[in-house]
Amino acid sequence: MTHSHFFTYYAKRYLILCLPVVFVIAGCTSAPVTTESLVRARTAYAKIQSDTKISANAPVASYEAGQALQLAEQAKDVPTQEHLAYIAERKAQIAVADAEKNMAEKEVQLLQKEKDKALLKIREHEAEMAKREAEMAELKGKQTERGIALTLSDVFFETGKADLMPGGLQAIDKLANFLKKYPDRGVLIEGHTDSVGTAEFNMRLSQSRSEAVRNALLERGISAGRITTKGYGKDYPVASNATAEGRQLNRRVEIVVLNRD
Amino acid sequence: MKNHVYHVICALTLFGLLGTSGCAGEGKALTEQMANTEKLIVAAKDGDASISAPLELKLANDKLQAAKAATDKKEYDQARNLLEEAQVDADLARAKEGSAKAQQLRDSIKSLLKEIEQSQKAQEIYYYY
Repeated sequence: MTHSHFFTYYAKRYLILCLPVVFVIAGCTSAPVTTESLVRARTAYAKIQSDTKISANAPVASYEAGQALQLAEQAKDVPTQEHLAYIAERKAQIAVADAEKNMAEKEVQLLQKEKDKALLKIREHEAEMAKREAEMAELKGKQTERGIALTLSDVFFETGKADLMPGGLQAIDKLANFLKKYPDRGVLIEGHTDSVGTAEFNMRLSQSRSEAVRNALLERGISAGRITTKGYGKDYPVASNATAEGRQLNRRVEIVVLNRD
Repeated sequence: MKNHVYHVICALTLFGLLGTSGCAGEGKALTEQMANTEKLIVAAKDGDASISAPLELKLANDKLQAAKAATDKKEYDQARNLLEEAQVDADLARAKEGSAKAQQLRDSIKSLLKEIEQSQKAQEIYYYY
């Protein structure tokens, strides 16, 4: 009998009979030991089970990790167990990473909205600032620590007199309008004179000048409670009293629109 | 004698069928799996996983090479296992990379928000009203 003849003979006879036996043996045996890989896979999966955020944020990957661990638990021999456990551990790690990613992305969405709101607020603030600056420019005022300081342009006085001249009324109108827009801001009116006359006379004159402006504001509907007047006499010139032009500049009224408290 | 020849032919046919179907099918499936794994690794590399998950990427690469060597030696089961492991390594590299990127983005928006808030406060201090 040749070798092949012998094999064929037995194959024909017993192969079919043997198959079920082989399957039964394979079905009953399981890996004899718990490998370190399987322990690691169980630990990795336990992390998913203990943290509901992971399964909530990576449901598919978490489910797949569970399936993979089950396969590893059912491995029939050590090498298969090690291989399947490796896959299971990795799948659990993937679920964790996916969950972290999704949570971060959700946070990003919320933060983007917050950022957009903040930027909008800044733009609104800037627009408001621009508007106010335009209004200040209109008044020819300057932002100082106390508030907006300005010298009423075109409000000139004759020497020794406190009467407002018609040329300055437009500037008073603008100031009144500004004060109406910001009803919670008070206004300080400071009168000054040139050096002609006695100190006492000029002190009274400067007070009268500031009161002339106050009366003009009262006429324009600004309440008296918001207005404070003060005369400084001739002590604070802004130009030389030696020339007529300088003296005219010194005969003036300065305004401070006070900051809100 | 006629009977004898018949047996030999039967046996050869049987082995031949088993052999070819086993090898050809397996080889083709493995080639496909190998190409897929390679694609996964390349995609992970392109996504900057070499920065956030260098070890996983290296493991995936090494296992892909080992799977190629195993295929050459016709150790198909070993090759398949190696490819499966290389795939989950590459998948993890991608997942870690995605997580790192999302967290970076979140952190940068957070610090931007902080800057915005600070500049707002500064503005409010500068303008008294």
